[in-house]
Amino acid sequence: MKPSKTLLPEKPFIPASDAREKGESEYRLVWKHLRRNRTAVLGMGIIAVFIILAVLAPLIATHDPIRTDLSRALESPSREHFFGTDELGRDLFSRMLYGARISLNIGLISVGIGLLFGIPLGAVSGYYGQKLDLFIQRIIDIMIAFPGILLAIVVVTILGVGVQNVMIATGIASIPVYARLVRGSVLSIKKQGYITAARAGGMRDGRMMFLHILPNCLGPIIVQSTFQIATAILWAAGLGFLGLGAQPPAPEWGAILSRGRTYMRVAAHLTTIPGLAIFFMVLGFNLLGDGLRDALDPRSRKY
Amino acid sequence: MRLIPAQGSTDMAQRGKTDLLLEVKNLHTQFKTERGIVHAVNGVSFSVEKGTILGIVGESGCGKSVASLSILRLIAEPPGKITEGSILFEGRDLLRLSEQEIIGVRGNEIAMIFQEPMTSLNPVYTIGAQIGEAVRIHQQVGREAARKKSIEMLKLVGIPRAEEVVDEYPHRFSGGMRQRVMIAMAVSCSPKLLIADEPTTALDVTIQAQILELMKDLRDRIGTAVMFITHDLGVIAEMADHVVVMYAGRVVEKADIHALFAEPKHPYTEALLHAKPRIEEDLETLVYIPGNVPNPLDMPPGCPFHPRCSRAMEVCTRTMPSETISETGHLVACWLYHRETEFSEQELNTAKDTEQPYE
Repeated sequence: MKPSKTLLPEKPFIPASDAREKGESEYRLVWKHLRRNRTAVLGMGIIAVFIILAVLAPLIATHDPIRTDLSRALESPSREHFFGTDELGRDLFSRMLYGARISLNIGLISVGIGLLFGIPLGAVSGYYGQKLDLFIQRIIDIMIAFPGILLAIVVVTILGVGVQNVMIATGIASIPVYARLVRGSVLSIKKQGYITAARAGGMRDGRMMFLHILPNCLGPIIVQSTFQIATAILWAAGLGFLGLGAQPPAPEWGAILSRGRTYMRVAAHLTTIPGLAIFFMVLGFNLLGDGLRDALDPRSRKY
Repeated sequence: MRLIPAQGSTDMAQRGKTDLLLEVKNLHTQFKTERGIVHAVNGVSFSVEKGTILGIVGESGCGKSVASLSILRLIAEPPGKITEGSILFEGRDLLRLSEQEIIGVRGNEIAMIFQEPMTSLNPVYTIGAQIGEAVRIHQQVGREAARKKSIEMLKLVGIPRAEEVVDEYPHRFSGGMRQRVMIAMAVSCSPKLLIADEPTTALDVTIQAQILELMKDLRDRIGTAVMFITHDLGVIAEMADHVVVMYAGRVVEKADIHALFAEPKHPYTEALLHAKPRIEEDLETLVYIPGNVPNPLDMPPGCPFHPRCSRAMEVCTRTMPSETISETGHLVACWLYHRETEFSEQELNTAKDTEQPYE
């Protein structure tokens, strides 16, 4: 009997630091590991497909996403309407394509807002510590006390409904997530030898914080961002479902899902298709996030 | 080294004041903890002359590192605080400089290298970027000039392929190489003083010897004075011109390197020297000093060394001895050298009775 292949390592074990080829930077190494991770590649594939569809929406779309045709309302998928039509006779396939644009935008912009405010808050809080930390963290506590979606609802209620406000709302709701994450990372990096060494070398606080400490916190921030994009898309869909997000006739997925609910028994495609789309987009970002987390952590890299 | 400003030895007097680079006087550094105030450095005075190497020896926890961090004001405040004393660097009191001014001193006039070369380099930047950064900050030069300087420094510390290495990341380097890089970074701005906090402790012996050789060589070539902190007497013998022996946050003995090894005065120094195994001797067990460094929260009264001292006397348990200096400038803080004046005949006798060799 042949010995099972899995019992014998195919390659001798090489310590991480020696396994890389000459001149290979940390980011290329991460990329290499990411490519070997099948689920991460799947996640990237899913995201890539959504991005391509969103970017090329005007070219692919078979109909105008907001033109109504009541004579063809609630049609099932057909050759003319790939995903069928909604209660006003709008082509669901085209609406889904344009909806991908809205969802991706919401995901990216809200994470951008979260990063923009969350990182400096967390960095300053962790770096200076003391009373400033106490003050910032109590504000973050107040924000964290509300579940993200609830905080987003509160913000939307204050700012008014609309896609833009949804972005701002989900962005604000993700600030505390980043502020906490960055603070924790800064606290641990701050104690590293190279930070003391940099201080002994005469670095000023700002330089130290943004050029020496933050680049070392990038791993967790990148991973959190992929999850946060997925979360923001979900929140936005939720807000859309509640009627607080994109207003008709904007083809936002959550809103489509919400309106389709009324016709669930006669036209199941109106809820199934946007539901699946949201599910896959979130899945894509989560898979990529998982893969990134493993690739960025030297201890979990597999050879 | 100048031992006590007012009563310097004749040798010191001849050299005059200009030779003094760093003068630490009566330094007190303490830390507030939940269980009370820890006096990590307790009235320490020493000085470093230009172009010489001062060794600071002592067991772990005796305040060596805190004293060195205090010089550059790198003690985290709170919980730490420098409560008393002065640190004169070329006549300027570092403790009275503004935050801006001390930043200008750090890395530029006084540089520091640390015990752990493996963690002392930032993993996300290339070697060249890290050496160059210090140069660019302190000498206001451009990127290209800084890069040239980095390559030059790498060559100076004996790193092969300096032109290639400059663009590599720290993870590719071994501990010894990283310590060389750290030294290159530290001397890149030609500091007048280099504080080396146990720079060879984490390295194996051959690499250790190379690093020590390199530091001595650099001292000779660029004239940087070195404050060398270690617990290794062998390293001190190799490196230092003058030695300060610290115990429990105090200086217990200060002397010229030859005087200290030939004639250690303080029982602690004597015990330390005795505890060092010699290759000629065939020992069954290693000699050690009984007991531990006292808990800084619970310092014994009097001389902090008395519970472990084989020659402890009654007076040692009550009062801290003041420092005495011999003609040759050998300073010691021990009651044994106060015989004539400080205590009675009877106490002397008890001292003789308890006196035993360390074996």
